[in-house]
This record gives sequence, C-alpha cells and structure tokens, in this order.
Amino acid sequence: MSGDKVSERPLRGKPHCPYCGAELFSANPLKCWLCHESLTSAADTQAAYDPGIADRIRLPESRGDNPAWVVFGILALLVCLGLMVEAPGILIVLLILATPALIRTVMASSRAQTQAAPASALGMFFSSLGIVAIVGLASVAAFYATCWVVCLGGLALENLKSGRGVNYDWIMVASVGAGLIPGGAVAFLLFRRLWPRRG
Amino acid sequence: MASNAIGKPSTAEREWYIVGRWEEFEGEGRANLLRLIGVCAFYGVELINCYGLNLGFLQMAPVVDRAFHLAATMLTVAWAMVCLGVLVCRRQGIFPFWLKFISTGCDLLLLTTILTLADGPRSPLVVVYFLIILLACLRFSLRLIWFATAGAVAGYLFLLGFARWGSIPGWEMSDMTLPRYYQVIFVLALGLTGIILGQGIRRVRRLAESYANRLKENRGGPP
Repeated sequence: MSGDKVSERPLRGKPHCPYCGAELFSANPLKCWLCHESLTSAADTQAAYDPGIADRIRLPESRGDNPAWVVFGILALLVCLGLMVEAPGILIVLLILATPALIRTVMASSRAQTQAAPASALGMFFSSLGIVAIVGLASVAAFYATCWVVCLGGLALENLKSGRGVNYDWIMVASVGAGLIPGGAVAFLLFRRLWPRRG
Repeated sequence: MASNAIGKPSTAEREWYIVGRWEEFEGEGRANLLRLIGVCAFYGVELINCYGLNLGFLQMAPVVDRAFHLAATMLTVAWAMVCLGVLVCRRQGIFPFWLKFISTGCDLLLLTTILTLADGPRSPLVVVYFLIILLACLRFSLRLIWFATAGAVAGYLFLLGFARWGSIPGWEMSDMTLPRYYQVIFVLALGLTGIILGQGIRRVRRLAESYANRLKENRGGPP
C-alpha cells in the first residue's frame, strides 16, 4: 500500500528541497512547502541531494502502509453497522465496498505463497476497505455535483418553453450521463493514486 | 525567531526551524491518526449505547435514542472528513502553519456540537477536551497549545451557558446544569493542563541545546 510518501526519506530521482530534504511536488516551485525557503532557480530543485541532511535533521523513516487507512476502513464498517437498522440498504453499499477489498486481500495472501499472519491480512482488508470507501465517497460527491448542475440547467431550459411541449425525460438522461463522467474520472484517478499495485 | 545582524536568521535558528517543521509535520500525522482512532473508539461506544451489549461479565443497556444516534453518526462522518482533509493535505505537501489550528478548531467545534446534543457539561465525553489539548502538544507549538486550551475553555463555557439558557426546538433535553464548584474545578483543570504542556514545550529547545552542547564538548575526548 502506498505509504505517506512525503514523510519518507527522499529518493534521489525526485526533486527535493536542498535545504530541508522535503520532496517537491511541482516542477518549478517558488518556495519549499515545508521550510518555506525560496527556490529561485530550477537548479535549486535539481541540486544534488545531500544524504547527510537526512541524518542531520533526522527525517522520519518510511513506515510503509499508512495505518490511517486501516482506521478509515474500521470507521466505514462501524458507520454502516450504525445505520443498518435505519437504512438496511446500506448493507448493499457495504457489500460493494468490501468486495474489492476482499479480492485484494485474497490475491495478496495467495501471492505471498507463505501463510500470512491473520493480523496483517485483516489490516490489509481494512485499509483496502478504507480506500474504497473514500474513493466511493469522492466519486459520489463528484457525480452528484455535476448531476445537480446539469439537472438544474435542463429544468431552466425547459422552463423557457413556458408550457410549449415541455419534456423532462431528457434531463434525467443528460444529468446522469454528465455526472458519470466526473464520477468515473475521480474514481479512476483516486484508485490510481491510492490503490496499491502490490499487496 | 532570533535574527542576526543583517536580519537573516542565523544558521542555528534556520536548522531549528527546519527540524521544528519536520516534527510538526510528523506530529500532525500522528495527531490525525490518534484523532481518527479516538473518533472510531468513541463511535463504537456510542453504537453500544444505542444497541446495547450483553457479554455476561459486561452488560450495557441501550440508553441513546434514535435522534441522537443519527446526529452522532453524521457528526462522526463529518469528523472523519476532517481527518481525511488533513491526510490529503499531508500527502499533497499542503502544509501551511495554520493547518494545525484549523484541525484543532474543527475538533473543538465538533466536540462541542456533540456535547450540546448529548448531556452537555454532564456528559462524560467532556474529558475529550483534555485529549484535544494533549493532541496539540504533538505539534510542538506553544501557540497551538494556547489556542487549544482557550478553545476548550470557551467550548466548556458555551456548554455551561447552553445548559442554563439554551434549548433546541423539538429536541428533548434533561437538566444539564452542574454545581458551581464542579464548573470551576473543570475550567481550572483545563487551564492548568495547557500551562503544564506549554512548560514542556518551552523546555524542548533547552533540552536539544544542552544535548548538542554536551555532544560538542565530548567530541574528540576519550571514549
């Protein structure tokens, strides 16, 4: 699983702040996001990384999997359990969320060949559940935001006809269709960024 | 921050600032994780309070009504979104100095909201104000500790005022008022917690300098 990459010790191939060693996210930043030192020239960011800086200021070691995702997964499960009496349909949502998490856990366990510790498999499952829940939430938000705007626009257009052959059917198709594009794009981008490529 | 003659920070100050920023960055991550674990654990207790639990040796009767359960669930989701926001900011290298104030302010606001809907100052959840002040300590910022302490005291005073004069239309509320001595003790405890943690933060710099000086003095000496 992707760790908390900015807290890792810098890799040599990526641009880093020559003053504090923080990884830089844009190609030509004006200043470092961490130490706020101004990086006036591209040469600053391309400067050879001094390995001694990591020891001098004791950059934290990489901790691998981000435990926050595990807790997000547990919280998603708890919220689903908390709402299941009020809205039993949420169990279907939980099933949808849990399916990719289960598949990933099973695949990773079988790929490892050796008997993985149950605790690590459980952690992997919950972290995957957390990622799927967050990606799902973001995708649904993107879908509804677009859907709502297109729907509102469509209703306004139909109102302009002032009763002459008003047809609302196309609005549903257009708004859902338009909402699917950003929703799918958000899901794709977030999965690409967050979903681990290796178990 | 102290400066040298030409107005630019000295090397020692600059190094201290960088080390401080890294520790702040790490502290924000740890605080966020602990916040998330806390939200998860307290929501678990809320679920047990809602549905009840009977393990034989441990029995908890359901004491929470439907309206409060739904409100607590929504506030829990909102709190999780705050955690997610901080997580995303850290991952994307968006780390302004005020991020810690925003996250701590959200903690105080959400806790006060939950307490307002629950039993107000009578709720055992008021101890979370102390946890929020302790979380502030992880960022090694004196100003944040002041902010968290002042926010916790303000939130508690709001709860006391709400218990005395406030009401929510359509929301059944029991008597939430407390004896005056109880209120004074709690406010004093909040303030003293902030002061003690602040003293700890003040001593960190001296500790680091003493350690560095001893290392410098012993360098080259006999092993």
